[in-house]
This record gives sequence, structure tokens and C-alpha cells, in this order.
Amino acid sequence: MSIPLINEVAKLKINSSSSSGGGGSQFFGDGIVSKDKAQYRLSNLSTSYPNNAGASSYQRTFNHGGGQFSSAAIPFYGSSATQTQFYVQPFTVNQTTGLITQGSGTTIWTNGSGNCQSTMNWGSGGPHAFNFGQHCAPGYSGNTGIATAYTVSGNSASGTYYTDGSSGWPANGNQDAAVCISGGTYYFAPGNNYNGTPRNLAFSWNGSSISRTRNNDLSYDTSTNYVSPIVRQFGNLAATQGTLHLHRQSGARQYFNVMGPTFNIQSTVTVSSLGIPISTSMPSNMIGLELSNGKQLFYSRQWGIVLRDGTSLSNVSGTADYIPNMEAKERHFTPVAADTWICMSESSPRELVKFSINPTTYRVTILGSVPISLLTKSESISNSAANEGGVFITGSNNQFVVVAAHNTNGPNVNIMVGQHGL
Amino acid sequence: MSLINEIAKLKAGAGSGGGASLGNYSTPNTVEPLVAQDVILAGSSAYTNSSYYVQSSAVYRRVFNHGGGQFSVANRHYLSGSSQAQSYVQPFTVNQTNGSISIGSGAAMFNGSSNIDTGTFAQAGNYVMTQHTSGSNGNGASACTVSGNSVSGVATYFSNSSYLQPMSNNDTASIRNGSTMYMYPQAYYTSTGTAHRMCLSYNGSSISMVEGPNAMGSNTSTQYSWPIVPQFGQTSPTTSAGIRSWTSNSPGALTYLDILNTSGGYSSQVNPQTLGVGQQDSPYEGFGLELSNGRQLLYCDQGTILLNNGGTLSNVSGTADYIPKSFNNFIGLMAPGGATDTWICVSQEPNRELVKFYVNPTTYKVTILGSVPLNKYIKGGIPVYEYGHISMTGSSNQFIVLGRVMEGSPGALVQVFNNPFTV
Amino acid sequence: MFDESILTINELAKIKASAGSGGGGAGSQFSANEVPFIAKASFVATSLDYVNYSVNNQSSESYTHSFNHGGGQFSFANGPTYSSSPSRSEFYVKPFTVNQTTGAITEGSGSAIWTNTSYNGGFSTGTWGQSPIRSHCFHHGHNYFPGYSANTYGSTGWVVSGNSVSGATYTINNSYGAVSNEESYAGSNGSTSYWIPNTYNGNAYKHAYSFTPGSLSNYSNTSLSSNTSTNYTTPIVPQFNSTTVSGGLHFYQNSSGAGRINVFDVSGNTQNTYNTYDFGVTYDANTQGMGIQLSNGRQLFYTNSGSIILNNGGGLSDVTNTADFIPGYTTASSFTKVAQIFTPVGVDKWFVYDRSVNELVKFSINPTTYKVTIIGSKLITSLTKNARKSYDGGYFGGAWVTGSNNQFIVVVAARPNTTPIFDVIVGQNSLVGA
Repeated sequence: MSIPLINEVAKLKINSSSSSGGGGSQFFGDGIVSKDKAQYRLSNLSTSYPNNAGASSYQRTFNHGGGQFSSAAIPFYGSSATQTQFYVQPFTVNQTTGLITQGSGTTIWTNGSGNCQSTMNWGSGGPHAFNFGQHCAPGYSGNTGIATAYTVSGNSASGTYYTDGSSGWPANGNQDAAVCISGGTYYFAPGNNYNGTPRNLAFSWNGSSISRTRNNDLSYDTSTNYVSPIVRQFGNLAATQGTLHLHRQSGARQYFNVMGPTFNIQSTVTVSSLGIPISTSMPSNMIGLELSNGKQLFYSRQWGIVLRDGTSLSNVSGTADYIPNMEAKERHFTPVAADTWICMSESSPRELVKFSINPTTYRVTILGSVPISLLTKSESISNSAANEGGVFITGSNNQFVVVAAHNTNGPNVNIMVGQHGL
Repeated sequence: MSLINEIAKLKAGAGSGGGASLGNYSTPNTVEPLVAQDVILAGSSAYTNSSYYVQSSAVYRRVFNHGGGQFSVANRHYLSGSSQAQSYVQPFTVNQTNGSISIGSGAAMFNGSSNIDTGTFAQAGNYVMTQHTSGSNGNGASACTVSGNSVSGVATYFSNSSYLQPMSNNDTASIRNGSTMYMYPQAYYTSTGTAHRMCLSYNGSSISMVEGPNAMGSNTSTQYSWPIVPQFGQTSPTTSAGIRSWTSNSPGALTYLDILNTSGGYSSQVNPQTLGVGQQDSPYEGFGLELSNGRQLLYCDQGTILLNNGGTLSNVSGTADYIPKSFNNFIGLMAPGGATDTWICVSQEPNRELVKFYVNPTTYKVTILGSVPLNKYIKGGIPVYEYGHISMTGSSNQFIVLGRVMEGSPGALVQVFNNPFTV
Repeated sequence: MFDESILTINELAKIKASAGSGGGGAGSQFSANEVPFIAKASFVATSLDYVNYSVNNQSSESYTHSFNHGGGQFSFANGPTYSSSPSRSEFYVKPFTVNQTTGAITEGSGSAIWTNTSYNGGFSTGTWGQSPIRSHCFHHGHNYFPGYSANTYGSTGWVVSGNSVSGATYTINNSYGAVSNEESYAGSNGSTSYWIPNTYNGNAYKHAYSFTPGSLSNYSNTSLSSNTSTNYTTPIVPQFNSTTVSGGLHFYQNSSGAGRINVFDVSGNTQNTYNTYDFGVTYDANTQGMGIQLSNGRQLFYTNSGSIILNNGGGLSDVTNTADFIPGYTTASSFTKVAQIFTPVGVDKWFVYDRSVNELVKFSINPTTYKVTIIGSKLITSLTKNARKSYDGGYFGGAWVTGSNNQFIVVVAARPNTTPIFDVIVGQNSLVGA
């Protein structure tokens, strides 16, 4: 009896077009089992007036580890009343059952003088989350550069903000900021420019106080500049080696500032010296991953794959493999083992992909994948989670996927938890 | 023990050493051949055989299932260079035993002498209504009855034209109550540029305005009315026509939802923020389905699920599951699925899949019963528009009808294939 | 053991019974080992000094094109220019080969097939072509041709073989404007190719060239008496091991704006003219399409209006109701970039890259019933490991099979945002043979 069965199983394994696998559906199968879901409103403004959350990318959800999560938004009144607030809703996901528990929603700051928020960067590391952008900061009636940091613990959040009252200080793009940890202090570096000048800008947060630790103009011939988000290595609470900051100088010459974990500039390398043509356009999407040997790999659809080793860079486009997601969204990667992550794939149909990077050859091995719509049952929601919210891994054995899809008519987040088999 | 482990690994995930590659095309070509196919044109011969340039768009066409194997293609177009415009319905049947297509006798619901463009369609049972512009007659509506593979009861309505300026080509909320159909247009009043409450009714021979036009304090020309996909055994919702979404000017830009009733009006107006729903400053699209207990689930707002239980709205987003259809105002790509609280739909791009699912009428949880990439049937490159059509038909629902409205032609490519799901 | 067997049988039955469940997981495009990796490379496609000066390949990766010349020969073409200074721009082609036994990639000798040494510029609107003499390539566009200080219309022809570029030549005629950025008709008869790009001169024109290496000759210019400049000729997917092309279609509007189709023979002579409404196209006379050459000399054309047209000896008929659509078909204009996505591998048999789902699909067309048989497919993201890179390999690159037994898959991905580099990734194809 066993031998025919062994044959059947073998046939299933080798025959890619056998009927047993069906026709490639992204909705049907037992690859992900639903565990729980919830919806939270991310505002405590009065419901008698429209609560506006701005563009759909202006909300985020974060994974703080150990089952602790938080969702954040910066809602304001669309009309008829005045207040802008920074609202945080913590929640936990039980590491065994996958059940969601709502925490204490809170405002980190409120401002009764203005209704606004604008282009922003978000980031997170460990129990902390960060935001930088031009919002109606407390005391100001118009767009003002403001950095916010908060810490989540015991399903509650607390934090504060920094502003120097300057306007004309926008964040660049709606990417994830770079976040590093050094000596127990967290540092975050949003992409930004000040009145058109790119800056080496960094803030520090130790859980209670926020400081602006760097604020230096960079040479430039365009205001466009990008700080690459950096994905941590398994076992670390945040990246530890720093990241790259791309900006452009005269003659459209693109430079990488190679930065350490406090975002100090350690060296400067021209992109063209790596064998990558100088181009007037800048790659807005780039992401770095930190390897177990301390090196970092940076990926971009435009200029390829760059290796960072200490303070030097090299072009490994001809040998390294691409990874399943090269968008500037650090929040989509969860490290689950040494040099191994689970991430959300780029573009539709959205999939959860487990992969590893060989830290010396930079080759990528796909270890497993599953369409996320098996859980969400809607590609709209899968795309929303990938674009605006986040997709995370949690659980005592990393067995759960947490999908956070923020409403495009916000401020609101839909949470779904499922058990995956990756 | 080792066999069980092997099977567990096979089940665990793609690429884990396990089997099927499972692309859209991976099923070998023991694929299902079509049972029947036809290009069905909906227009009089002047439009299908003309030296004039015909003006129209794929979104001005629909395919409808009237039940019992009776279908139709509905269309709006006009001739540029010759003063002719029409809304037109072309009936066809699908044989309930062998699936073959028979084209019936089509007719215009409206003939104009200028242009016709933006507007919307609705269908309830054997009634078809369309609300549209007209360069010669003003904004209005036209309707007909489809039965016996032919068209009857043609009616038009061109009163209150200035209130009926269409602002969308989406599907619209409608309901059949006895011999009367009610349709809620998505239109605005040209004098003020603001949406008004209105409902048009058709009784098989004439069209009337039974609600409004009433100013509702809208601050914009936009309003959406959300259509409801019927329950198994029905060709119309029964407990509510759907929802009207609009935005007020006082307090400014606050979006409201009207709960529509079954007789051409609405029962109440709700501020969705009080339900814990996200808020933006403009109306939003959505659609619903009717459960066997008469409750309706409404999918909208890119992630919110509302429940209409006897005229009371609540937010069930924290417990109800999503379904694979896009969250917009088009319901052609969803239909009753041959059993109670069961539907089929076509999922959104890029992977157009035919999905069958069940919704629990009290927990609102969704069970996906099966899904198949449409490539299995129509071999790829599928321009299936959101305003296309999917439904079941046949003496035992043994056929699937896919209607793909055409871009360059006044009609639809209709394909019939065997129902892949056990009904 | 008895219990285990029953349990196992049940589990197997469940796996087999339900579509998409079990075996390998549902619908993933990342399946490991689906397309095993063999080799990759990145090549710079310019002779300009990109280390010291900013170089663009002109504003959009849609102004690039990739080619499979057969026998393992491939190339990438673009029009790089310095962004500001110095003043120089070029039309650059970079060949490479894929070893037909090992799959190894060998860099070829890239060439600037013409250079404007006085002005920066680059490409603007233009169409590409490749005749069934697969080493012959064409471009008709709005370029900074040598000696010109502004975008000027002209056609270029060149040959790629022996891992280098030869026989390149161009003619300039600013009266004949280019329409669109995809592909146009290129046919061949014997050793001569014919190039009929989408062109206008005031209004729609048939503007035809003949080409042999080193010689590009404009032999026909005919007004189509249209009331608009928009018009399209159809690129043709060749038949396996054949340089025969029966001809093509030319879509345009007449003087009243009604849609018309000319069917022409291999060298562009109009055989018949039809109304588009005879083929289910009554609206939007801007019809586009591509054609496939069948083994019996007939051609099938798949149009962006959802109609399928048969060309049988110069006579057209509407076969939408009986023919099948082919994999990868889309109404988007990108479907006319056929040289980047089709590989003929057997009689009436091809691979095509469907970039909406990132699959390379093997299919055949019955040359008398026009029905399509899907033979199999490969998930390209299993090789590229990134779905956007798979997409880059569709519209902005290419995906084909090659090898002595078609045992390799080759994906070329242009880089977005004007960078004149491209990636090549080679993987193992299990759908071998004809």
C-alpha cells in the first residue's frame, strides 16, 4: 500500500502541471489560515466633522516585536473645526493563538491651531516608531517641520516631538526612514531637504527625549535626495551599521554618503566610480539589508545592487541576485533567521516570500512563498497593506502573518492575522 | 509517518520542495473548451454598417442576466457626422441544456438626433434602465422589458433634465418591487453643480421620478449609489436598494450615507464616522450583497465593511471578511453562485480568477469554495473590464457565462463554458 | 500502518481534489526551482563617458529595445546622450550571446551605429522592427541624427551577428514623422528586408524601405488620404525556421474619419482595402495590432479592439468568433512589441511572455482552425526573484527561450529612469524541444 502512495506523492512533487496543484489560484488553498481580525479608528477627533487623514500613505503600522504592534496616523479636521493630532493605537497579537488585543489609543501631540500634515517619512526600531514631516506642529497654524518619536510598552504608547518652527523643510517622498541603534540609543534619518538643500539630518531617541543630532547642509545641484531604509539582521532590534544617503552634486554627479549608525558620514563615493552611469534621474526606490557578517546590500531597480563593506562600496549587479522587494519599505521585511527574511513581494499579485541571502556570494534562495490574498480574500486589501500599511511576521515560531491595511479614506486600519506555513 | 510529513510539506507552501508551479497557464491543455461563443452587437444596422465614425466606449455597454436563460447586451452610442444616437438592447438566450447562444430581436430604447454619452445602467429582473445625456433631448433615462428574447415596454423620460446631468458611468443602486423597478441615478443639478436626491421608477411601460429632485445640502456634484448583488434565487435585492453616498456643505465636506428603501426613497441618513468608519471629504464608491436573512453586507471605502440590518447600519469591519471583488460601484463581475449565501465573482487584475465563495449570514465570515484563473478558459490576455459580466445559467447551473464588453465594437463577446465548481 | 495509509490516501485525495490547495501552495509565482538559475550579467549600453558625465538614454526606457536574433545571439539598443555637456549623443547597440549548450553569457562588441558629435539629444517618438531575417533590425524615429541640432525624423537599419554590429546605415527625411513607440511591420523576401514604419506626413502615410546590409532605401511613399496622422502597421511574429512573411495590415482612418484596413504583401503593395467595421471595429479608428505567420502562409492578426482577423492570400475575414486569443494578449499598445516577447520554437509553435502574470507560455496555433493549445508555462519570477524585474523584462526588455534544445530562458531587463544599463538573466527551461 505504501509504495503506490509514495509514487503518488512523488508525482505531485515533480509534475508542475499536475491537476493536483490546480490552476495557480491566489485565493484558494490552505496556505494561510485566518486567526483574527480587527478594525481600529485612528483618531479621537469629533465625529461631527470630517476627520481627514491626508493621503493614503500617511498612516503606518509597526511591529515592535514579541507580539506588540502599533498603528499611527496624523488626522486633522477637514473643515468646521481646528485640530491636528498624532494618534497611536497599540495592539498585541498573542504569540500562540494569534488573537488581537486592542491597547490604549493615545495622542502623542495635539495642535488646536491648524489643520494640516504633509509628505512624511516613517520608521521604527525595537519598541519605538518615528515620523518626520511638515505638519501643523503644536503651536503652529501651518506646515512646520516636526519629528515625532514614541515608544510602545504594555500595549500603551508615549512619546514626544521636536520642532524648531521652520517651514520649508519637507521630507522627501513617502518612504520609510532609516533607523539604526547604537549604544542603546536609536537614531533615525529621514530623507529631507531644507529650502531646497539636502541635509544630513538625524534625530536620536532614548525612550524619553528626542534630539536633533545632525543638521548639516550637503552640496547639491538638486534638492532631490534619498536616505535608504535599512532592514535589520536577525537578532538585532534595528540596523547597526548605518546606511547610504544618495544626493547629487554639480554636473548631475550622484554621490553616496556612506553613513554609520548615528548617521555620521564616514565616506563619500561617486555612483559612477562603481561602474554605474551618472544619470540626471535619481532612483527613489532603494532598500538596504544588513547581513550577518556586518556587510550591507543595497538594491535598486535603476542602478542595480551595491555592496557595502565597512566604508567602501562595490557594484555586484553582475553576480548578486535581486530580492523579492526592492521598494523603499523596510517595514515589509521581518528577519526570521540568520540572513533570512520574510517579505512582501512587489506588485500585484502580492505574495509573502521567505528568502535567504548568502552573505558571501549574495545569491538569493527562495525558501517558500504564498499569496497573501489567501488571508485577505481581496487583492485590493493586499495592495493596500503593501502600499500604505504593513505586512509582518510574529508568533512564538514566526508562524503568524499580520496584515495591516489602512483605509484610503482614513484614518482607519484593518488588521488581519493568519497562520502561514513558511 | 514519513508520507504524512511529505504531504505536510507539499501543503506547506510553494517552493518548499513541493510540487505544482501553479502559474496561470500551468494547467495543461486539457483545458475546458468553450461550450459556446458569440460576438453580440447591440445597435441598429446604421451603427454596425456605417461609414460614419461611431462614438462610444466600452463602459457604455453592459451584459445582463434576466434569469431562465434570458440575457441581453445593452449599449449607448451615436454617429459622428450623422445626427443619430441611441440606447439599445439586444436580447439573447443561452440554452439551458446545451449552452448554445440564440440571438433574439433587439430594439432601441431611445433614438436621438444628436449625441449620447455618460450615464449608467441598472437591471432588475427583466427590466433594463439607463440614465444618460442626450444632445437632442436633454439628460434623461430610457428603459425596456426583455422577455421572450425580444424587447417591449420601451419608455423614455426627459423631464427634470437639468437635475439629471450624469457624473459617472458606474452601475447604480436599483431594486425591483413587484412590477416596479426603482433606480437611483448618479447625477447632479447643472444650475448649482450639486447632487440631489432622486429616484426614477419604471413599471414596464413608463418612467417617473418618484423621489425628488430634492436638494440635500450637497457640496459637490458627486454622489454614488451602491448597487446590491442579489441573493441566490433572486434577480434583485429585496430589503433595500442599496446606499447613496454624498457629501454635505454643512458641516463642510462631511460624507453621509443614505440607506435606500424598497419603494424609491430612503429611510435614514447616517454619518459613517459615528460607526467608527474612516472619513474623507468626498463621497465614495461601494457595493453590497444580500444575505438569505435579508441583511446586506456593504463593501466600501477600501477596507470598510458595513452591515444593513433592517435599515440600521453598523460597522462589521472587525469581524466580517473581505471578498475578492473590487470595492467599486460595478457589480457585473459578481453573481449568485447557485446555492444559498453563495456567489461567484471575477477577482481584480492582474490575475483575473473566477472565484466561488460562501458568506455566513450571521458571522459574515467568508469561505472560498474554489477558484480558477480565467486563463484556463479563454487562453490569456484577458481584457475583462470591471463593467463586464459573469453569471451562472443552465437547468442545473452547469454553465458560466462570461460577457466581455468590447472596446471597438458596439457589443460584447459572450462566452459560455462549463461551470468548474460543484454546485 | 493501516491507519496511516488511510489517512495518507485521504490527504492525497484532498490535495488532488481541490484546485490550488496543497501541492506546493496556491498560485505563487516565486516557486523555487521552477526556473533554475544559470547565469547573469549586467552590461552598459553606451560608448559615452558615463563615469565623468551624466548620460541618459533619453527620458524613458520605452525608447529602448531588446532583440533575439536566433542561435543564441541577442542585443539591446538605445539612444544615449550626455545630459548637458559635452555635446554628444548616439544610437548604441550592445550584443551578447548565450551559449547554446552551457547557457553562459558572452559579452559582445557594442557599437555606436551613428553618432551626433555636436549636439545632445537622443530619441523621441519612434518605432522598432525586426524582420524574419532575424539579424536585421530597424528603427524609425525622431532622433538627433548626426549633423542635426534638433530631433529629426529618419530611419536606421543594422545587422547583429557574430556578437557584433555591422551593415548599419540611416536615411533622414524630416517630412515623415514617426507615430508611436512600439513596433511596426518588417518583412523579408530572400535576403532583402522591408521596413514599413508607422509614419505620417501631414496625414497618414505608407512610407516603405528596403534593406540589405549597408543599404536602406526608401522606395515608396503613398498618402492614405486620411483625416488624421495616426496610423499603424502590424509587426509580424515569424514562423519557425522561416523567413517568409505573407505581408501585413495597415490601420488608418479615411478622409471622413471612418476606420480602414489595407492588407499589403511582403513588400508593402496594397492588395485589398476593408472597412474596420467589417471586423467588429466601429469605434476608435486608432486600431493597432500584431500578426503571426502560420505555416500554411496565412496570418492571424490580434487587434487592440478585441477582434481577430485572418489574412488568407490578401483576403481578410473576421475570425473573432472561432479563433482563440493567444496567451499574453492585451489591448494595450505594448502587445505590439512582439520581437521582445515571442520565440518561434516549432511549426506553428511559439513561446510568448505574458507580462500581466509574469509567465513564459508555450503554445501552438492550429493553422486551419486557429484554435490555441497551451502546452506549458514557466514562472519568470522564479528566475528574477522580483516581480517588478519580471515586468521590466516584458515591456522594457525581453523574455525568450534559446539553446540547442530550447533548454534556456533568457530575460533582458532594461533599467528604469534613463540609465543605459541592462541586465541579462539566464535560467533553465524544462519545456524543451519543439
